Amino acid sequence: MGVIHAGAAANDPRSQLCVAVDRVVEKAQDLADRFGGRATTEFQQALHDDRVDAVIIALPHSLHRDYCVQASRAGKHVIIEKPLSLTLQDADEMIAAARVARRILLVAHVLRFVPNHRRVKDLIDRGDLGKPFMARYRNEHYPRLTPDRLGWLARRGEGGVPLAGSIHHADLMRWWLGEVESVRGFERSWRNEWIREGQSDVSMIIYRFESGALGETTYSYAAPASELNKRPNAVVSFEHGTVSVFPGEMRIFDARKGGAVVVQADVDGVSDHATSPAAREVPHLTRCILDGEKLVIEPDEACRAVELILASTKSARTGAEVGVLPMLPRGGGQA
Amino acid sequence: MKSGLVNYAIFGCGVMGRIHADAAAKDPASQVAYCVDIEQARADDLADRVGARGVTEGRIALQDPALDGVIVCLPHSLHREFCVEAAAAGKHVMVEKPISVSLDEADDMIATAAENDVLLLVAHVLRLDGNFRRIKDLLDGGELGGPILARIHSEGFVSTSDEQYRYGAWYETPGEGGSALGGAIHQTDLMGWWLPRITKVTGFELSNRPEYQAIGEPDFNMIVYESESGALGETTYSYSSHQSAANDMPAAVVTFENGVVSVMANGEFRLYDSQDDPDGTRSKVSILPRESPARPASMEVPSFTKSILDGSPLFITAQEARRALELVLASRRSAQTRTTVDV
Repeated sequence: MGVIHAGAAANDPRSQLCVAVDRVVEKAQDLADRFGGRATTEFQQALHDDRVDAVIIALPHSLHRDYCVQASRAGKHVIIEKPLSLTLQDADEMIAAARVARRILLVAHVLRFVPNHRRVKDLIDRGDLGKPFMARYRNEHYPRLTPDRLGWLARRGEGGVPLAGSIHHADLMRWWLGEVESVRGFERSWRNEWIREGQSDVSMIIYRFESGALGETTYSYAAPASELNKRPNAVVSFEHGTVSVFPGEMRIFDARKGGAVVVQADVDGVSDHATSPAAREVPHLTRCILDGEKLVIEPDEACRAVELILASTKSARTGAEVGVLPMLPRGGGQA
Repeated sequence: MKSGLVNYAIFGCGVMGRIHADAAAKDPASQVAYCVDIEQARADDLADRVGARGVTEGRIALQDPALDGVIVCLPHSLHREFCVEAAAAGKHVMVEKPISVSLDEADDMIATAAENDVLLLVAHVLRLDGNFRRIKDLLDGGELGGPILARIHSEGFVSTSDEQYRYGAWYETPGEGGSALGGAIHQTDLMGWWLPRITKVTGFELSNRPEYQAIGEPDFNMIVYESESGALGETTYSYSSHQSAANDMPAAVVTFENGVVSVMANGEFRLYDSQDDPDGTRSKVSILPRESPARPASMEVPSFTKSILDGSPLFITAQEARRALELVLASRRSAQTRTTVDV
């Protein structure tokens, strides 16, 4: 993710990469060579650099809190990869640190940056197809983890597929269908790299919304190449129609208009640095900083996604549906 | 065991009664002798079509010693009464799914069939679907490893105002089980057939349409199944979704340890075997056309006739059909109590 964000900064006329930080100096140097700036293994150097306005944190989940809080306290705006944190206490601390420093905290929930997801959100809000009663989202693949690339992902203490994958869906479900009343989670471990660490690589979650609607999401790191089967990622069923989101396109079926299906292409079908949704995150933060653009996702919402995932993991452990309390403002008092 | 021709009475001359009567009329080893319906005109209409006698009293048919079997296509809540009566009269019984609306009823039916030494076939039509049979064979053969996740989805908007369903108004009456007993039972049976023993079910029900709200029955059922192997299953049956083939929703997807299989809405069968793809290029997807153009529902009567004539095994045992009912009823309990139910 660091590479994608660095590329996005380099491509954005109003953003630039000043410092690339990695504990492996070659990795930092490679990024700096490709996208500009200098390389260092010392995070503090970046924090003490007055030219640095914002820090982009793409580290293992277990390091999120420490680096994020330090960056906010140093007066930097922050983009942090999802999940915001591993616990709600950490999230509160991170949100409070940003608030006290009066700096922006953008949690990079990339699905919000997919234009078709925004179209689904608008369609739901406008009520074009009546009330939605069911939403689904699925991502199933089998990532090859190597010591060099994402090797940390399966490690104990990083949260497994629920906090790495299902958290995407948790936020999207809430964004689309509103507040969640309870969740029922199912988790499994199939692949050795996850079993060894006691982590789940399959997570299915059923959401019960306050509206009475249901949601079902599945995130799997145990599925070989399922995208070949050309399934939609998302399907939302409404009173009067159905919307499906495929990679690169979206289909709208309105039962009141006969059998016609409206197909809308999405430029995100091609995932290069110029057009991938993740590449929209840095320019968005830059506009938030320079133009006061409204954040696409508030930190409280990212915290709620963590809360829902933790509830689903509890549900998977206990075998019972877990209720969640109405959403509260997070991060303690105002600055 | 007998040879020659099996004589049937059709009980209930609606949508399914007509399909089975036509199938029997086409099958050289089957023949329809009686068409029974509470409405004489409906009985006569189907009887004329297949060269049978139309009557409004089932007993007239059951008293005929030349009658071998009955095909019960009545509202779910009438299954027990008519099946038990037919079995007690020494007739073989084929009954539409679900076997019945309660386990006590199912037990009564199974016991009566056993006591009278007649066959009891519950017409779980999806077992005769070529693509679902292919999945069963892959699961049993183990070529792709064990299953991780199996899904079956069927979502549509069935309306009894459609000409095709003009005799189906009873579907929208209380006590018939809505989409749970009308639809989800199909998928639940497949899950029970496919997956290693299912130990837990969690059900979710919605009543979206006013017709179903008014009768207190669901028109949307989602069920999660937990198998003793660790595999998960998920099925959705909806009478309240506006799906369209254009949305390209597969009817079923099974993820195995070493591959993925999808049955697409158009009947295409897609198979990916990761063992053929060591470099992960994902270029090898086999796309097989629908196996047989025949409608599985038209294969049920000939298959039943064959079992009657030569003793070949039924394509689903009555105990398996009872198990499907047990799981669906558990899912309904689960939906009401918001707990997972052990089965």
